[in-house]
Amino acid sequence: MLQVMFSTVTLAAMFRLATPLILAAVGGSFGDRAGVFNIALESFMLSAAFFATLGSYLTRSPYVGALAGILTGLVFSAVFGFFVFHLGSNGLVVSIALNSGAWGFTTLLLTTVFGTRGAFIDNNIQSFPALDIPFLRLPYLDAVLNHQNVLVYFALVFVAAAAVVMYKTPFGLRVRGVGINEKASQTAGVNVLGYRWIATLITGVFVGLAGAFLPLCGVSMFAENMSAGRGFLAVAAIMVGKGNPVKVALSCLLFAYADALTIGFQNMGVPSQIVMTLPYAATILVLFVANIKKAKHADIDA
Amino acid sequence: MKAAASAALRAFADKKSEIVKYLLAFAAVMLIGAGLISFQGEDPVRALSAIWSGALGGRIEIGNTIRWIIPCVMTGMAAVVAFKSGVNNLGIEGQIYFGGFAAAMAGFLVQLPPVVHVLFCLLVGGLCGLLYALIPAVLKLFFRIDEMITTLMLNYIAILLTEYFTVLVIGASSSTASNALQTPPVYETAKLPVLIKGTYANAGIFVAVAVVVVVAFIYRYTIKGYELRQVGENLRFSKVGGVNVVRTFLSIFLISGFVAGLCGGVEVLGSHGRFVSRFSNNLGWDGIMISMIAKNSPFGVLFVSILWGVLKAGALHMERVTNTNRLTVVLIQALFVLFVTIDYKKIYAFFRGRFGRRAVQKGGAV
Amino acid sequence: MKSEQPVVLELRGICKNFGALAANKNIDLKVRRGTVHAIIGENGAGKSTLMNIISDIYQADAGDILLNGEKVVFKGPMDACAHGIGMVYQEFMLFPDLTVLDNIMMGFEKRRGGIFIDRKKTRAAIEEICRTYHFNIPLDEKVKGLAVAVLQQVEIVKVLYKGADIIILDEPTSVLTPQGIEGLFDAIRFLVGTGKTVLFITHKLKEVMEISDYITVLKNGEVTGNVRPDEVDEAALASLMVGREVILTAQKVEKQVAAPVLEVKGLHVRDNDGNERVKGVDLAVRAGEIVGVAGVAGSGQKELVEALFGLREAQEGRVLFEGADITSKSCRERRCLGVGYVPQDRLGEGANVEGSIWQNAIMGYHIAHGFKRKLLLDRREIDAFSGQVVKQFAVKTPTLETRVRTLSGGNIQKLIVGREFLQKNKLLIVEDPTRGIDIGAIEFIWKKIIELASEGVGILLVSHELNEVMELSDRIVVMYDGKLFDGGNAGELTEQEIGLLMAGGGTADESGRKRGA
Repeated sequence: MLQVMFSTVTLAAMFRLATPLILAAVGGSFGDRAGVFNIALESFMLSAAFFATLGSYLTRSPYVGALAGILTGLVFSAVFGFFVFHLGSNGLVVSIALNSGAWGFTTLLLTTVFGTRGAFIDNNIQSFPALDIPFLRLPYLDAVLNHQNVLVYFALVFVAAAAVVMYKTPFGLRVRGVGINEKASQTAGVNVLGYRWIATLITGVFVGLAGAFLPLCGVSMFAENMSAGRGFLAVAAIMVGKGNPVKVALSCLLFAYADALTIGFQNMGVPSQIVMTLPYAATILVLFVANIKKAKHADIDA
Repeated sequence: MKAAASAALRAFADKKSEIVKYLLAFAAVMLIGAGLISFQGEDPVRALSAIWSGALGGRIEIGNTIRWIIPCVMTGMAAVVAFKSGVNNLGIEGQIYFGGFAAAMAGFLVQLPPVVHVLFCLLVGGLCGLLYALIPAVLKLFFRIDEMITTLMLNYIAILLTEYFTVLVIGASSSTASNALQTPPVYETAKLPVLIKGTYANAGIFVAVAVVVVVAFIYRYTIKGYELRQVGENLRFSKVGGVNVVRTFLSIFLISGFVAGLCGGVEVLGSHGRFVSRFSNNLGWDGIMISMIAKNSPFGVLFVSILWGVLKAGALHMERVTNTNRLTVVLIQALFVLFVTIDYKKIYAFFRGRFGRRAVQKGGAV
Repeated sequence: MKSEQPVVLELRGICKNFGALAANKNIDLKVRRGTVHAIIGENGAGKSTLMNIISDIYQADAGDILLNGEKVVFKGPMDACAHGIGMVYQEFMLFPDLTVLDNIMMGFEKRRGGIFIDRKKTRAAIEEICRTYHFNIPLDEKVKGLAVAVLQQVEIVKVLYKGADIIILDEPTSVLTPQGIEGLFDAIRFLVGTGKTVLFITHKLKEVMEISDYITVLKNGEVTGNVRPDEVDEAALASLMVGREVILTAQKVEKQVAAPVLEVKGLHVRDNDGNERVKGVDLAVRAGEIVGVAGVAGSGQKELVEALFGLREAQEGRVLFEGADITSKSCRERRCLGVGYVPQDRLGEGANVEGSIWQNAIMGYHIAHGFKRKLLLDRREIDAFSGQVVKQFAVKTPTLETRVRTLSGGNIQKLIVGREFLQKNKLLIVEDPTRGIDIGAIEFIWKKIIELASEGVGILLVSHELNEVMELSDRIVVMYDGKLFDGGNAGELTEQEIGLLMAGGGTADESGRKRGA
């Protein structure tokens, strides 16, 4: 058991599995901080995964695939923003509609474009390459952190960059201000709608990139409902980390760790269904632990 | 007299704008839907008539439409109960699975006389859905964890756990092939009677309609219903007014879970005759979308469910006789939700206000 | 002399309509540099609208704004700000979770390398302003948890940092103690002394007489007077404002005071963050008595009231109702016993604006005093009770089905007060019953409170309007930092003496005046 928990395989898998979560959740933190309620990340991610597959399939380049994923995220977040900001729709309802629609949309495209249902595997789909970083060639680290996918490293750099943007730039300050007090931001000359829009689009871009990671992280395939709730896990990570990029990324690592354990446990003969519940159960557990203190003095107003 | 008349006139204007809103949404969806169908190289009119004949073209077709209306109404009502009182129960899907599994267990492990057996199974299904809803309810009430995330996570857990339980029940050695896992069939005594021979239209429709009637009655005519509505519209107000908010909140969650579990039971006992893993296939989300289109009105749910049932039943036929993929219908449904959420009044006001004046940012003086 | 100062801001023929309502009608105004110019008027007289037009939050339907003699058309609030017009809103425009420094620089950050915030340079600039104008504010603390008087200073520093030349203060004294007000006035005098211009909006006549150089009176959207404080007295101003001679006073009646309905012993209460906000309170309210609780906002009144009504858990101590311990009883149980509550937050807690009149009118009544039928709604009983509320409390509404959203603030408050007052309660907890409503409604509600007490109901009146507490109460207590101090029977202490208690019992005034250090 302990062997599984600390094995290099598990930890390496943790970083790999955390990458889409980190990209989506840290990107989504901007939307969250700007006060935009959005649980449509799941739909952004799933659709981006499809178009990333398509992009890579057509050009045999994972980078074109990533670009296609990003564009998809951008378009979906623009649709979300347009409905919520300009048409007066409720964010929850739009999210639910998009999430339901995205499943139909991608599966429909899967059948019409690739003529198959379930999953699409093809040699033309090219994944991101793994990097060999010389200074990571250390005993334990080599197996854990080295030879990972490009995006894995990008995600870690992105966390630091997001933290700097959030806390050290006027943009970050204003995004946070908009989320805390809309009216006060207006009187300070901050274009509330503008910042909400930008924050939403940032969310779209990085959730799109996260979506592109799913088919192009090595598996080189697209499967129906491939995001499997990762968009929701990202939302949970944002909640736990309260939109602070570093804390959000740490929660993502935690969820990913639970996910990574499934591989080892499955080999040990634990039923796959039980093992697969781990990341979801971990999410609830983490929320539970994070809220225990808050619950103590709370005035029960449900 | 005059005041009452003007109030009635305003109410009528409100209703009218609601109708206009639905018509606009419907028109927009039809337009985009037609685009989607033409994109697939098919004549939209032909596809639509295929849906129509596939859903309502004959006895068998109508029967299968009814088969789909049943779960739509029930999940829709599970959502109405929750959302009308401000509980964001996104876990209907998971509650359906637990209800369905429990009903199947009661259906093939227990032997009871005919009518009693069905009722017993339905009750067990409902209660299991209720118990599964208890988890997020407790987390929300005593640990202040947002129910949206917990219910979402519990959906995935429910799908996996019921699948695992199914494996345990049938003792299959092959726990890997998860696509066709199912329990043995329930006893004939536990099955909901079929209404139209050769179809899956079953007595579940009566259960569904009963749920609608009961819920509508509660909201309109009881003190409890009055409280439920106030809690949904302003929680602090209700609390200050002396409504026991914790208990109300809990009961809403549990009732919603019960209805969802009941729906799982009806699905299993009426249509499948056994528990089939992953059988629900987003029924819970259908319910949430239906309740949103119906604006949380019980009878509205009935109407929207009929539309939903027609689309679901007709989609297969459409795929068979035309070049249109049946998933087009899923897209159309999602678009309908999207367009109904639009605040058309606001847009109208915006365009009217555009000429000459800038948008007002602060409310008028008190 | 100040009359020789040049005119810095001039308004000519400003008109503004909201639908059928004319909020401003043909308003002319001349404001001279380096003066305090007061704009006074009742709620709804059009003061706020006018100020919002000056700061370009609204656009006038007609009329011109002239700055230093030149006509200007602003391109938005920020443009007005760039022209040196700064507004301090009555409701503070602050970000509780950010530091004071971040609050002040929001939207006007100095940059390093074009991308990053230069906190050092920004801080230096703000400290310079604080030095020049004698403000002393903690730049690195979060705004959440600072005293109101400090928040107001933050707001003023904020507009100065943005380069304001004309500072508009919207009802700035409503949240301050008398001593805090003195501190604010010192600051205003200093600002004016350095050549800044202050537009001071208020409805409090005494303050106007004290601080202003010029006074413009608004009534129903029109200017009804342009005077100087040495030309008029308060009564004359009041009649310009209201159109009749009104200075609010309550007509009290003689009555017998009986046994206590409410007794509080050693009560301790914490807020949501776990901080103790009520620190050992003893209190008694007898039948037929009005006990007024005065105090600066945030002294623990909210937590005290919530604990008394069962909305918040008491950490320690006991609450007795007619001698029986109700400390751990729920809201519902307290209502059943005969405790009523008029909350401060009218729209958040007092009413459900989405609901109809009758749905609002029967809330609480449906549990406590209620209906014969326990399960089903009885429309006849509902209509009877709601009708009574509407009739006896003069709620202006076409029908009982009308949505509360469509009513005015005063009417909503009358509906809430009526609902609670007509329930035959034995104890009423009334919190800020007249905030932000027009004078007619205030008079009406005051009368009803006194009537109710004379019928033998015990009333605990918690108000942030010191005037209201002093006019209505038989006995006054003052809340400061979670503790209650005896303010004597009605008329025993002067407003100044009570003000001193509100600011901490006459000892070092921590919250009120931090400036001039």
